[in-house]
Amino acid sequence: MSYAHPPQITYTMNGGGSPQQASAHMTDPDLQSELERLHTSSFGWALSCCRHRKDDAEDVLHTAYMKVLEGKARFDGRSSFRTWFFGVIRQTASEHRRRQWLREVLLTRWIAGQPATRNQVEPPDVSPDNRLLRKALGCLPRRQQQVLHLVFYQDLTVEEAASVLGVSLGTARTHFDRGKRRLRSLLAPEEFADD
Amino acid sequence: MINDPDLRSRFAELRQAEQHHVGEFQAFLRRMSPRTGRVRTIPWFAISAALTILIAVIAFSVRPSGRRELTCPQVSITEWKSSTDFLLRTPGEEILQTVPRFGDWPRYNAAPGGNSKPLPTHKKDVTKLFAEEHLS
Repeated sequence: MSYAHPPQITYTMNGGGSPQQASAHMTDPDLQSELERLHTSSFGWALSCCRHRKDDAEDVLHTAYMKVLEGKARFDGRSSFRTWFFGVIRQTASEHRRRQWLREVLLTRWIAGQPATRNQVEPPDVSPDNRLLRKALGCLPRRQQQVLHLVFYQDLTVEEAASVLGVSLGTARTHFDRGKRRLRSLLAPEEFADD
Repeated sequence: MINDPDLRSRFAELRQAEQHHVGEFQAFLRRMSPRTGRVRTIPWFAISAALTILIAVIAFSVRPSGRRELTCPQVSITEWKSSTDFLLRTPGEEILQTVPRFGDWPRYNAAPGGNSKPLPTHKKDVTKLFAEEHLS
């Protein structure tokens, strides 16, 4: 797919005081530069949505970029661009999971008769602390893991995290509190031995 | 006790570690299709091909029976008769279906051994006829 002559997509925004909402119309080059600015944090979010599987995260992020640049996902300005794009990544990761489940479970396991294998290759330079944190996050329910990632990793507020996840603020707060409690117990089990 | 700043610093450490493995943005855009794209098309192509063959086999297996039906002689519904239709024909049915006439005695002449004399029209004639045949 070539982006030499990309379609001109206009993104109308409803005012707002944040620097990201200051530009009333975003053409495709503006959009690309905005996506490039968020690229590192977007990849981290895609990794979190894909349970830290790098290959899946790359596929999801690529598909999300395609959705935005081809105009399939349109920014309406109701939130910040970052929050909106993180929502696109979350939705894309959800679709990717469903497709992968269908392919692995229905086709690989039932038709071919082979067990579904997931190759999760961890980079060699992962420190023990990071490995422990990833493992602990992997034990949490998906919502709790995602809200903790958005707040602690991406430095979003709980309200912004709720917007990304498409849940109410109260629900996000509940997931945040339960997730923190559970994560602490997993990272320092000796402190919660009496519980 | 792990507090919020401690958790935040752990996540920051994880973020720094993961940033080393992020590919370039332009490289992401240059990718032709997701890695799973090719893997995804092969099973679906096989499934669609198998379904097409199955439909073709079913279509060819159904068609000859239709031809056989076309060659069978077709009987009009007005000409059709039930094989048990004879059960509806009861003995003496013609008596119920005809109107009797005065002076007419059906089957009198047709009876075996009967004579060919005309039918008596009066009660006296019948008595006379009986006396002639049996008392003489």
